[in-house]
Amino acid sequence: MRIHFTLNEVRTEIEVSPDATLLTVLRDQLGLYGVKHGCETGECGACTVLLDGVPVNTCVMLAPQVDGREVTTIEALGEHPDLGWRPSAGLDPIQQAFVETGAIQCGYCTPAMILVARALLAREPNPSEEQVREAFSGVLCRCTGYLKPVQAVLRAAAVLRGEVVEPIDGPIPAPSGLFPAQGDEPREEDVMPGGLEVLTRTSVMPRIIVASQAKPRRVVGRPEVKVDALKLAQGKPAFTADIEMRGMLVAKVLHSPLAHACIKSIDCSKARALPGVAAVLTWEDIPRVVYSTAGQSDPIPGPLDSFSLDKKVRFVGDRVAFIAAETESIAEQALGLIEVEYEPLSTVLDLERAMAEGAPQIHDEPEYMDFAESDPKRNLAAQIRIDIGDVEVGFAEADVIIEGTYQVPKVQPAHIEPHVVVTYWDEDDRLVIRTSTQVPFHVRRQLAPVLGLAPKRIRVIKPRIGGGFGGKQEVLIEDVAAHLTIATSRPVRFEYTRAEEFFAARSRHPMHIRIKTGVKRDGTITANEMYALSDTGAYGCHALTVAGNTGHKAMALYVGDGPYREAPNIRFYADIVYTNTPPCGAYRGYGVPQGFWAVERHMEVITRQLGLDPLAFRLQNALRVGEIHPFSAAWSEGREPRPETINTCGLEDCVRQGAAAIGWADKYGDPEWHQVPGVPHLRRGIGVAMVMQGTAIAYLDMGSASIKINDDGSFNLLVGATDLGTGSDTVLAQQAAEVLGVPLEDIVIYSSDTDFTPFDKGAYASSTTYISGAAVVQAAQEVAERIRIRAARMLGEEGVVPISPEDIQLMDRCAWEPSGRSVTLAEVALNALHHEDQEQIMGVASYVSPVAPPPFAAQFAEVIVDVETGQVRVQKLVMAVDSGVIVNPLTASGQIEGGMTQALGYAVCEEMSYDNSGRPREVDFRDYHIFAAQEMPELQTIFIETVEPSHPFGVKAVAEIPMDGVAPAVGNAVMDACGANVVEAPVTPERVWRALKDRMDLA
Amino acid sequence: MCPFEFFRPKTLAEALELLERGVPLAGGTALTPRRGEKPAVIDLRELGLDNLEIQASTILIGAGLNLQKMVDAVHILPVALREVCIREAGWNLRNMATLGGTIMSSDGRSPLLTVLLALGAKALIEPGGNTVPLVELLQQREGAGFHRLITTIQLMKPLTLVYEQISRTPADRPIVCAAVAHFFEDDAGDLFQVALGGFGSRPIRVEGAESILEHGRDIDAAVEACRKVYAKAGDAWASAEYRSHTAGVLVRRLLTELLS
Repeated sequence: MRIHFTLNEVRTEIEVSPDATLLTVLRDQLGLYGVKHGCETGECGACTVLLDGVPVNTCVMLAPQVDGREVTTIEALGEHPDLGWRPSAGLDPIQQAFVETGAIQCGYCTPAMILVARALLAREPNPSEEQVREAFSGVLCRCTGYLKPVQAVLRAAAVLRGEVVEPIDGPIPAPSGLFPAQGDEPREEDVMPGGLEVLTRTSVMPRIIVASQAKPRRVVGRPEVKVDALKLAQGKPAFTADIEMRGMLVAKVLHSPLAHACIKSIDCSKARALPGVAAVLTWEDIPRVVYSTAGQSDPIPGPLDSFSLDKKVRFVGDRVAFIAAETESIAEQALGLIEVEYEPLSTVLDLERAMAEGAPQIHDEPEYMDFAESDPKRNLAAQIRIDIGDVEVGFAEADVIIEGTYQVPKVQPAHIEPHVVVTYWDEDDRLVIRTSTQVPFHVRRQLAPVLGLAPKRIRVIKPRIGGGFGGKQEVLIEDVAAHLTIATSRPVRFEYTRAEEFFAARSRHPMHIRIKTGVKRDGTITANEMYALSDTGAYGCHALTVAGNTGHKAMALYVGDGPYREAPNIRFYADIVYTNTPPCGAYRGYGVPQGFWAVERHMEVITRQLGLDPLAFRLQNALRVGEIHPFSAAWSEGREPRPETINTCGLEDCVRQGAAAIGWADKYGDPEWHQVPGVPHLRRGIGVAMVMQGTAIAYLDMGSASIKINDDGSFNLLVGATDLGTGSDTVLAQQAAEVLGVPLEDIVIYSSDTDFTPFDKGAYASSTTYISGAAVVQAAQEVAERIRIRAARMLGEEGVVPISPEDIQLMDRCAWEPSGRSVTLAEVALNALHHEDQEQIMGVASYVSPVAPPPFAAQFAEVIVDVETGQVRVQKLVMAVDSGVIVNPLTASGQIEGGMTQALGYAVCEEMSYDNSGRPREVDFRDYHIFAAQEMPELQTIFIETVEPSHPFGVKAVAEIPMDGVAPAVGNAVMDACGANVVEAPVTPERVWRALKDRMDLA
Repeated sequence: MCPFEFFRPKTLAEALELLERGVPLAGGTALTPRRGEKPAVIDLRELGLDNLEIQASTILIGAGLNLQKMVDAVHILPVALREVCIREAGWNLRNMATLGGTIMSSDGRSPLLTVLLALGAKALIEPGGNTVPLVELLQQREGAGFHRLITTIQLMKPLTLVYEQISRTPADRPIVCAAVAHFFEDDAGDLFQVALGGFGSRPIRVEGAESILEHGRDIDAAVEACRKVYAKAGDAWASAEYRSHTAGVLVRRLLTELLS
């Protein structure tokens, strides 16, 4: 049918299918890729447009509904400020504010947020913070924690009202003492006019205690604008699916309706006969190659137990057949025409029963390849046994032994951009895989045998990624599209629906954890023992390494004091079992949040049982500078462990500053503060958790970079590192700019393409800023050296005295000799490329670290508990973090805010569950609730800088540690509020109520 | 050839004629994801069903009025009714979802449906021009072949309307919610209407509690009546024991607030 409407102020008339959504028409027919697909039920809002000036979701709107109306997309707003000879109108003030404030991380929801802001400011030019948050209520963001987007809107509103706004690139505050508590009584100068409840400050810079030994820098340490911010603010076609290809087919997967079954027969004849179907593939049509979908370095530290398609299905959602068709609706229709006869098998859904005698064997395929202790006959995907010291001796020396059992749920990364891939043969008959992945080089290596191609015949391109959080550290769907391209010789696009993300993607491993701790009356821990039973689901991807990390980080923090500090007694055992549920995998924190839920809840129980001060007790036993990381000599992901010394640890300062910021001294232990005046059923509580993470994997993770100079003295920086929205491209470019003496804008960074960028293991293990950053610095130093040599020669030719290259300094786009004479880098580049002894000045370097320096943090939470119903409302989260030197305060604080927000979901609402047949309860964002802007507590971030000596600029990781402490801090705050000891996360109202009831029954 | 048809009638009569061929399309937020199951949709946009009218004792709301317009009806609609519209969906969806569509598609975890029940909502249904209590409509909608159209929702104007919910987070769907409306009736005395939600395919009215309140304002007994109706309200989200207990807590709080 034909529809007429006004699109971005242009009268438009097009033919549409009556059942086409507006989203499909705008993207596929009109090429407006700023409108994003995030779900099919209108809950995420990534597909927002303005319809007659108000935001609506185009995934739940049929295209004919806009007939006669006015549609505005992000493409109508702003343009790049530099368009060559043509004058540019520049960015819209709202886009500009998003760019400046660091409100853009992955940028997938950014167009939606900007459009919403535009609609809000048209209605209300002077909005309160509450109004801004309410306006964002229809757009979910998984990256930012909403704080910076809210600040961006308030800032844009001020600009549009003609007010002068505070510059963001201001001085970094570095008080000599403690930061004052903030939030309870906001300072007048901190508060935006009209702000309500949670008060957003005009200053978007986080609080930083700058390390006294840190050298002053020009680019590193500054709140630089993200290198990809402009394109993301404009909704440019930067993501995997934002590509048009002639003849591209749409892929769909037929998923298993049963949790465990053999496929007796598949009849695809009707599906194949359907007009518009290009291919239907079953296990009978493709090679049977066993592999692991875990995107990890070679050799994969886990069992090989997966096939692209198999004759057995192992969970509801497992793959049965692949379809490629001309359109999505034909592909969906064809799915219904495939006739499958299953032979149902008995299932095991409960991890506690997985290894029981008589449990059905999930992996009985002969091709199964063990790794380490895996034993498929017992449904054991991996096993870990680590003994440090002698816990039995430690227990014998303890005054008290305290034991506890804790549980953590399966949760979803819930990146707003689903998994998506486009494959095609290029003109050289090489298979191109354009995919939203964190691990492009692993995709190439791991898929090659599966597809029957040599790695050199595969090129993997990683465009921008709309969030990953570990979920895309998996070679999850690339094979589907690739098999179909091989079968049809045509380009194929495959994109998960939101429901598929829940039932057929990866999630965090649920665990049942037992802890036993020996403590002396003075608070000294004498021995600590953990047993973790981890559920990997139907396949063993990341089974060993996630659980290994649970012990490696969470059980490493509290070593004990006195002689126990010298020789700690720690035991960590884990069994990782198969069940007939969707497989688990990597998710931000990678096993550590599970461990710290148990450890930190347990520490709280100990402090209360022994009457200890929670802060002092933890610090008394915590790992310190100069000590050996206790697990470093015991375990290393199935490789040879080597001892690592802790060179930097700012934990004590984190505790001091965090405690001051949340007002710990005035609240903890004060009965009056715990009461809510006039509301007897409410109680306040305050809680803490101390955590540590790692920075990369020592001796394994490798990053590399190449840099070359251009005619104008700018540089191309090529990295294989994968920016999944975190800002890693920006901080890598900042490090290069610092070494080369240029502003950030002179570094043109590109990541990543397996044909052009050097190898990088990918974005995981909190490694990019540190590992890839060190490689960038080394490559930049090589380039700088070549520049110095040439500049010395150029300057020497002009003067009398020869100049040594070592005396040349690179600064302000020039090479300076000591007397103050200089040549510009553009002159050096022209000299090198065109004039004299021509050469391409370039550098290539790679880096592997012998250490994995842990970041440390103190996480605080304040809650209000309804003691009659168990309902918990988190009021405030404060995180003080030692992440080494902060390269970019805006992107780093964005990581903390976004991480705390995801962790808040882990604390109070996120969990995935299954019925007795293995069918999922949660398949959309209605049931799987993630935090929205209007319900967020106050967030505060404090950086306590240390200078990590193993990195040229002293950096450590920041990305994963915010996932670790929020849930236990909230659990501990609930205990502080009302005594409820909730051992199972998340802390739901019913769990709190039951814990209170148990307590009363006990009393 | 696409078998799916899209109609946009200009009159109610045209729309009613088309009802045999397809289903009414209001905002589309619930229907669009399920359009594959339908042969045709009838877009109600041009029927002018977005009126909002206040009468002496009733409020008439066009079934096509979107939820954001209800939120914006400051000083017209009761605060608690506007607040549950905010709880029902984010801004984007509120700009799309209509009152009629929400009634036809929401389940027991809908704050808005719970409050509408407490307000004694009735739906004007075409063809036939019948007025059907919401309680009955929620039962009828689950049957096959509901080829009718809601044009208007009629609410009793409350003296006071209060709502409270328990949920995992402030914006999450309720695990348990309760609404109580207090109407000043006539010489016969006050009228209370109590609804519970957070469970099952639809919220429920607790007539036992209403009757108790009409006959003496015995809060304890009314609370007990509410606890009883949720005594078996267990599902994957909460146990019946918890729901029953919490329903009692919420209703007690609401009644205490209302009667104080």
